[in-house]
Amino acid sequence: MKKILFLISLFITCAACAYAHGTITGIVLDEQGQALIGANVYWANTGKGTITNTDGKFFIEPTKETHLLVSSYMGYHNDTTQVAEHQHTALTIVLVSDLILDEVTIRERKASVVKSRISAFDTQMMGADEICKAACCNLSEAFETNASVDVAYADAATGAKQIRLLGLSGTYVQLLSENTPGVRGLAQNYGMEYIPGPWMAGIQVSKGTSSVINGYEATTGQINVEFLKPQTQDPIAINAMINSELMAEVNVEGGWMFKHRAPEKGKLYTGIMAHYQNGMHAMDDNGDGFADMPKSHNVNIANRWFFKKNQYTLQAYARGLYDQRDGGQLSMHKTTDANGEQTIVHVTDPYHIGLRTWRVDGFVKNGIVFDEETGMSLGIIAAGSYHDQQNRYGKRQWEASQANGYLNAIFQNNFEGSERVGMDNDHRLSAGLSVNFDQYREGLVGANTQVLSDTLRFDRWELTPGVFAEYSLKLEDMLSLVAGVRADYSTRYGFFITPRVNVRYSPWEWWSIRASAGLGYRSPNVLADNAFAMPSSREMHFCTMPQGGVVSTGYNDFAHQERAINTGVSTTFYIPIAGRELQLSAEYYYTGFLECVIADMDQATHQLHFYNLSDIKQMTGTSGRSFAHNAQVEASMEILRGWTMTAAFRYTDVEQTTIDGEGKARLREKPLSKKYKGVITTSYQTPLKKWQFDVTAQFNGGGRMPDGFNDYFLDQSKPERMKQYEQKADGSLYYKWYPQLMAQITKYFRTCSLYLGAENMTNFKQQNPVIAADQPYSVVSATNPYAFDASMAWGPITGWKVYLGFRWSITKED
Amino acid sequence: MKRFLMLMCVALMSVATFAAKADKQTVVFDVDLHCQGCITKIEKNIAFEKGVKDLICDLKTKTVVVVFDANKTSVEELQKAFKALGKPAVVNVKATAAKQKKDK
Repeated sequence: MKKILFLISLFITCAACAYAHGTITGIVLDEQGQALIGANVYWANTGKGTITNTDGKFFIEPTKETHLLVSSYMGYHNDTTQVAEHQHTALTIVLVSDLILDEVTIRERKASVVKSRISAFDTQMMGADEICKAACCNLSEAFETNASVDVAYADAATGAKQIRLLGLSGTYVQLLSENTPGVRGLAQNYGMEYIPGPWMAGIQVSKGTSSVINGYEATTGQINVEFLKPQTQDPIAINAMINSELMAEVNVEGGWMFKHRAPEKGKLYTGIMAHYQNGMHAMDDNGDGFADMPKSHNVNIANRWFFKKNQYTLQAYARGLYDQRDGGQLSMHKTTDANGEQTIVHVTDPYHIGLRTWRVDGFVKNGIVFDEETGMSLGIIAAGSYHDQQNRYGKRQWEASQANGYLNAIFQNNFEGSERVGMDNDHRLSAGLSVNFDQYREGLVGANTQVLSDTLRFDRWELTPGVFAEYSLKLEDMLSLVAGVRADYSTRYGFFITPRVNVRYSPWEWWSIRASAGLGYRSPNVLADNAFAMPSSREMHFCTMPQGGVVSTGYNDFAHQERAINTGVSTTFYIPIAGRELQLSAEYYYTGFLECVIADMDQATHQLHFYNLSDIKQMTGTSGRSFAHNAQVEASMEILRGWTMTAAFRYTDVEQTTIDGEGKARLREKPLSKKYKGVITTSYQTPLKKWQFDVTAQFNGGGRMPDGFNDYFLDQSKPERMKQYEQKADGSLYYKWYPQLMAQITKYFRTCSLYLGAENMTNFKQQNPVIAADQPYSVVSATNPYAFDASMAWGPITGWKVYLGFRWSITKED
Repeated sequence: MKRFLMLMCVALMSVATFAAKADKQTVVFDVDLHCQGCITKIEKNIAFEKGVKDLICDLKTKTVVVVFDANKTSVEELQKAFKALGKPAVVNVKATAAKQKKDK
């Protein structure tokens, strides 16, 4: 590595001597710095050339035909150098001996998930290859082969998917699109589905505390999505897919350069990404008369621009979106009775779930590089979004809008050892200012589904200016350290400080260890964070404890700012086996909340209580706790050329204090989280990369169910349902582990590829995920102990499905 | 699924036996490779040229090793294909000889 860097630096070093105007001069050297006498130097694809003199030097007249200067010498690899229009300084060309060749005979198959080796952050980079491994209609499906991130249905009725990282809800992960606020606030329930798979060029998943540059929000980690960029994307790419649930989608993307502009005006590119998705009918796979997957429409169009002139770069992105989902109770459906006889049921007043979302968002990024050698630069990022949603869940109505504005200015400089950037050591300082503004207007009708007269308002706004500084140090490849701190002032929550530190140490090439610790903060959105409970008859109770300092404008005001500490350690071994490398890693992370909003499903059946963690002491006399432990081991290797395999196992323990029916505080496992996860994923690509086979098997461990439903789930007359649960000695009910299997075959052609895949091949389904699906308006009473509830989803709601798709593109010309 | 995988295996194996009958030759080209993008471009196109059996691109040495069936294509044909991509390929005589020696 050092050698290459040395060669590159030699290559770009230009000797100070300038010769007569026009003539290009230079020297051809070998790797040891010896002059090569009589080497050929010629303009590519022309007959014009010269040979080097006895000092290895050459003089050549420029030509209008090409800027590519080729140097060749017997026993060395040819080298092509791009020569600038007005090259005044002498070129140094280093030729590499071709004797190296025999050392590298087989190129490793590039892994599609790459764990960064030198970064201080525990980051996995998923390339487009990885994203293409599964149907991947959108971001939420990109993690199916990933052991660290769980994706599951948030509830059993709306098709919303929720991610979890380190065992905690996706709300504690900072989801960024190109380092601007991505999926946050109201968007968090469906926002992952608003990022179509084919739009993504790459995803970075960082576990544990992350950089302070992007804000104070990342608690358990950070996921950053990079979209296709007009300067590199294909001029036209089309992708279409259909699955056996009759969900179809089409994506069209393209990026172009404005070729007819004068070069001195700078380079300008534009790109378009468009997505349309149609779930043609509401699926009812389990025949309970309630749609498992709503009927849906989604239109999503983005336009982006890239401009570069000398040291200045500008990127702009704008996107508009409309999403519509209609599900709930079907007005007409078939039921099968115990004798196998089918009857058609007509429902006069079906429980309808209707979700409408409009969203516009965008960003503008400006970058100026003042000094390329030291990397001194200034970046100014401005982003904004407006999100409006009108959701109906039977008689419950939730109408909400969010306006967000964000500004971040980052100054970076490699302030020491600048002449040796990228060599032995590298010090960098980043510092800047940021401002974030959020305004929410939210109204909820039917918090108690029996009382529909009141609208509870959750209106609020928050302005948070802040400053930050981050220092990073890299000592060779051995030690990396990133230490950052930021100070912010929130108009709702006051002044707060976010310190974070990440260290990586690798004394040998085959071993590295990382450690991190930091704080994360978040403003809770009580409704959006718990939208899974909307399609249920659970009565929502908001803590009414008086709060000092905040003028009450809405029900959200009881909620304190959420604060958590996250710390972790991870280690990776790189073990060479038969010319290949086995990667073994182990990690442990702990997240502890100092304050958070508890959503308590256990206090009473069919109720949901919200209160702050710190309120528990006042209410019960005992202080509450909320934390998550997370341990994971992973092994990954290319076993044979083109055949890669990864196996991972994870243990998660998420606990929180809730208040039981008798008003006592009780520390318990958080309901509906999972204790274990195992993933084995394997992929084979034929040597010419014409075929690819991917198989992923998962097992997902059991977890606790909310209290009060033991008799329902353990009902002996429903053996299919009963065998999915077990009751523990303390009376808590747990769901058992379940398998998942998915596979995909891809055939590549010169300009297109076809893929065929299957999901949930074991056809495992959570039995009766919707409680009282036939009586969604029913009230709990002595004769009817279980009223409607679709909020307790823990497993797949729909059975196996098959999908077929194609991708076609015109390859970008250079 | 199992049956399908088995069929795939059989298909792959038959391809392999067929390839053994072909006149397999190896050539090493010097190609001006800058980045992963160049490699992707070559892999996406040269792999679909008639007679190409295997392809290994190496960014470090800027070489592309092509195994091909001499009954179906030739070094010149391959060079034409590389040129059409804007990536002219020059035969690296020394490395090709070394490769061929190794294969025998």
